[in-house]
Amino acid sequence: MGTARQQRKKTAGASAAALGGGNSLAGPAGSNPNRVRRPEFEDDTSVRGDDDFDDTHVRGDDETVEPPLERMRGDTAVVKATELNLRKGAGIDNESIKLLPKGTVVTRHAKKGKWYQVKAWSGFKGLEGWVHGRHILPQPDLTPNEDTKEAGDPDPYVYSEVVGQPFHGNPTATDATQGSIGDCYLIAAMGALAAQPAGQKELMRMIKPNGPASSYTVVFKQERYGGEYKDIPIKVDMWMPANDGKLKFALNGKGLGDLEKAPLWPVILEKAYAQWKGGYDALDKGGSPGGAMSEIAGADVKNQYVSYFRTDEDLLKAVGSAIDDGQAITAASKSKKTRQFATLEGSDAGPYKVKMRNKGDPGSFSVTDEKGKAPWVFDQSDGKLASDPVGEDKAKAEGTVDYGQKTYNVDVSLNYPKGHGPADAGDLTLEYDAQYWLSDTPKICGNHAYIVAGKTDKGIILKNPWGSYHPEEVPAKLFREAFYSFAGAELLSKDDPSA
Amino acid sequence: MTRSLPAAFATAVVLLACGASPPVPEPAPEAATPGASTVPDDCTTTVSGGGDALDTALRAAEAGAVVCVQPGVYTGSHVFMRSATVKALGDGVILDAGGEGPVLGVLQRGIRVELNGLTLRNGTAHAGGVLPLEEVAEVVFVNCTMTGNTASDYGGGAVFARRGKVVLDGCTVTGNKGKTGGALLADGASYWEIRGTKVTGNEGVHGGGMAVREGAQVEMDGSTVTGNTASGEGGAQIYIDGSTTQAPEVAIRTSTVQGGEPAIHVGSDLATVVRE
Repeated sequence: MGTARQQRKKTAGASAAALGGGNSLAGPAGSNPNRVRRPEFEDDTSVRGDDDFDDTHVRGDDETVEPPLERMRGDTAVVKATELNLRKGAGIDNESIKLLPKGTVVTRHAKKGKWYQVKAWSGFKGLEGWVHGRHILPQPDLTPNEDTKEAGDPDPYVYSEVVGQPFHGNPTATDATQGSIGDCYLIAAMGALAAQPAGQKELMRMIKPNGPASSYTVVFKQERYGGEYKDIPIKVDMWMPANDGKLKFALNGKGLGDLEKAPLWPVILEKAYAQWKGGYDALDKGGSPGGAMSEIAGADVKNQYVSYFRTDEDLLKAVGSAIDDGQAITAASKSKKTRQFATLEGSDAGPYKVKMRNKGDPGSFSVTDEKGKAPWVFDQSDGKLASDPVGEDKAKAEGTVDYGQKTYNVDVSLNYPKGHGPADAGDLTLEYDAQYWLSDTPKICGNHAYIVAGKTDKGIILKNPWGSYHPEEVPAKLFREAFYSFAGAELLSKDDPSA
Repeated sequence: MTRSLPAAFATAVVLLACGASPPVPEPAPEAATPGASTVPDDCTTTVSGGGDALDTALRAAEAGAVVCVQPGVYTGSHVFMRSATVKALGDGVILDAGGEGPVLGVLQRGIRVELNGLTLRNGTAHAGGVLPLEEVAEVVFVNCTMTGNTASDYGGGAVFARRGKVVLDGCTVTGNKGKTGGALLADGASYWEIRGTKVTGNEGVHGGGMAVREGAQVEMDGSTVTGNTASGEGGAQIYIDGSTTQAPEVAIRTSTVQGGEPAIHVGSDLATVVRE
């Protein structure tokens, strides 16, 4: 930690010295060495994203250009200064509206000279103003949703600067865990590759540090028409999306202070992939695990649908053959809705609550009292539960439902009019159309990608890229019912002793 | 405009033909013969009876076979491991996957598959309900109808390709649903020729009729893309987007693409879109 911190200080100092000449108010570079050597600047703790020229009215407002970052498009950026003035206009003479802390996400909407008109997020709900370009860094697009935040949306996020190493030994299939973004296809591809010795080599070869490991170059493979591959190097910094002090996506939920021994390759690779594809938002549109394996490892991928096999034995034989061949293998589950049932906990008038790991269809929720004492409750597709009026005061049951569209957690809370609750919580049954679980035993999530970790005589062993809810052995018959296909990547380096 | 296969593709074909058995010449492309009732002379095999008869015949066919099919409903997925032509002998030759998987599978690099006069329906897949093409192969649809196919997880309710070449010639593609590209998803490094084809009445999230992504190339001539709907970001008819290093090339000539605001969404600065 100490070494990395010193290194960052050194880099920051060098950068400031090199860039200092751009400030027309301060004069040419080096014309006032006192400003460059300002004592506070020597102490990283007191750097507040200011320029190194005039502390009286400048907090992060000097006029130097932002460093370019390769393969970036979109409007998102992060505040890299400790604190940065958000001003009413483009220039340090304009009044400061707010001090934006380090890590604040901004979206850029206009440019005047070296100043950007931005909206500030990370809890600032799109507050508008101007910041100087030097103190923000472009980042992959990730749409903030604070202005339209609905039940189930994630909390405001920040970009946090992460310190650590990509690898601690060989990567493993369970290093990467999917966060709150729909890129299971990518995380499963990473896991499948990491499960194979040849895939591990590919992963370790593709992520290269740039100098002091504050940035990396990740080399993807882009296929051209006809089947040839071209190297695509993507340079990424170590600012990663986070909320509540934890990483938001790959390595989901890992505490920012707990990364010293964590292999960071999944977050580095995921961010590079996001940059390449046009942002985290682009990853959220979905993709194919076979395509991702091909782009990571330059591998020839064969995607075989289960309907291509006439018998369970033929299917198991084909999967076994791919495993024996040392292929990295993923499986894609079908998209299907299933009716789910649950009981609630509570007493008297409520609240009655239940939380389930799933995602529900708005408008499909209802709560029934089997004994008929409590009124029937339904949802209105807007996150609210209601009932028909009951009792003399014509009261209604009321509640909320988080459909889990972003968090994959259905969350229900319900209150009945006084005197009209159920006799017992066990009398209540919640039912709804679940978008995810195709099978309860073993747990199989719909519209999802899995890592194929092996096979037995009767089934296929699967790992979930969430890092939990692993189905383990899935019988061949169930695999045919619940999965579209499996994709096997023939890894180029498996027979290459020099790799 | 046609485009010949690249050198790597041609090499693959040659290498595949260098085994113990002598190379089998590919059949010359033929004009479509919809509504034909007699068995043409070039049929290697004639299939009838519906069910899995066609798939059984295809699995047994030698490279370059011309499999002629009598009217009927042929169920399940139909898998191609070798080059072949499937020719309908009259109207009503239907390949129906029954919602249990894609209608077709093309699993061998370097092969060429031609399907002439068929209706391809009720396929379902992660991407490409009729055909998910992930091999460097060529698939040609002539006088086809694609309907009732879905790929709601990724896209291309009817056809998805991230590699190889797809030709749609004189086809009607209607009533399909897909996420990115309601009917067609040209992705990755695929190359498409769409001629005299109607893409209409399909539903998607991004691109009701078609989506073109990454480095895919599409040549469209004399075709119609109208009446499709997209519920998400842009492109009621065609959605075009690339990454930061590659972008699609789309040429639309003497064709009608209209409906929705906008009819064509172009999300990448790098994309090349030509309308003539």
